[in-house]
Amino acid sequence: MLRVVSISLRSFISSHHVIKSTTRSFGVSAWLSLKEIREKQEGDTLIIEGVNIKSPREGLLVKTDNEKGACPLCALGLDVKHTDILIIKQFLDHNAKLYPRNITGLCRWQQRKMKYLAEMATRAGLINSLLREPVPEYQKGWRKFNTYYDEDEIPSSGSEYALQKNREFEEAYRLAKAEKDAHEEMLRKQRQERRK
Amino acid sequence: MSSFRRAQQWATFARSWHLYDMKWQNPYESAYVIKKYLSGLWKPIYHPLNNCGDHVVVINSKEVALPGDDWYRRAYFHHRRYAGSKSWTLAWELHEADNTLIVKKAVYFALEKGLFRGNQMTRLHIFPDANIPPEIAGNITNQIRPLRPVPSKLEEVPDEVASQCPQLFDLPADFVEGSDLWGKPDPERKAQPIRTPYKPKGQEPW
Repeated sequence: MLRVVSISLRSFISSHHVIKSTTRSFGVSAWLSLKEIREKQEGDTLIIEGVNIKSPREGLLVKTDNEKGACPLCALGLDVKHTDILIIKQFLDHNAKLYPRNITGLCRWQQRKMKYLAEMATRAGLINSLLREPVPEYQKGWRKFNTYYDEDEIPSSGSEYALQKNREFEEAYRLAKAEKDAHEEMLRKQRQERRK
Repeated sequence: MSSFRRAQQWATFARSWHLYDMKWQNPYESAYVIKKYLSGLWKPIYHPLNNCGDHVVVINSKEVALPGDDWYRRAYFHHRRYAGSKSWTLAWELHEADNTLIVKKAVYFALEKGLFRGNQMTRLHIFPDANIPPEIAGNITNQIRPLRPVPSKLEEVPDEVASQCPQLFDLPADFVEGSDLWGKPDPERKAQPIRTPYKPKGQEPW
């Protein structure tokens, strides 16, 4: 039976020091490339070939191109909840660990929000099948009962808070200015009537 | 009185039976929904002294959900009027002892205080799972809409749905799936010299 194993070229090289010198020759492409390494045993010879494979997400991608270069979540305007596991799952690797920002392409706030959402989904027991080994403590005591989380309780970061305060101030300033203008307009009209 | 008006009169004062599915619902929020039906508040003939409440059958009370850390933050106080007999039971301990008690207490506290409360509580039927005795199931004519949607776990999602889910981003070309190496320092990277702290040019004080 042909066994198809997908491992990194680097880890393969570091684990097999014997063929390290021979594998130097075909390092034409990027060092860590999305490849499948296939091993074939034909008699005494072992044939190893690296094949470039297509990404499994290729046909399913959503168009998130934005003129201002917004991140995919901001561009779509999605309000992601911790129960939307099919969306959260895309940002997790095989160990249920969040990918870094250079891979996900999210902005800083959305990445931070996704960190909390992944933690919420894990604690609610929704993505237990992604975990390599189910945590035994999660089955004891209060953890065996259903729990849900509120996304509004995600603490806002400092810059987010500052921006929100800025927005509130601008709103209040705009209202006050409109009120002042209306008052001055009224006074001006009164003055004109008196002159007449 | 015509026969139609007579039947209308009977239907107005008859007690109807409602079903409420407690799966993944907050008992303390849904208690106020149940209260509306138990005390007959939704009826045009409602009056606090008018005995016009309905029956509510609550199923799946075993699978209630509490928000955040409420399972070990909420405590139920009880005192037997003996010295030193006061006790605080956590919500998860109470739920472990009796699956229906949290829902019962939540509805009891939501109902208005008074002589009618015990009477209204007798019309609440709570079952830990979906098994209802047939004499009760035959009476049910209405189902109350639950407050929050039931979340699905990842293992319960069928593969056809999961494989067709639209993807928000694509992995980079030099990404290796299934590797544990990303995010870790490169083992073959040489030691880098320590960066000197940033000094803007032309800002020297001397």
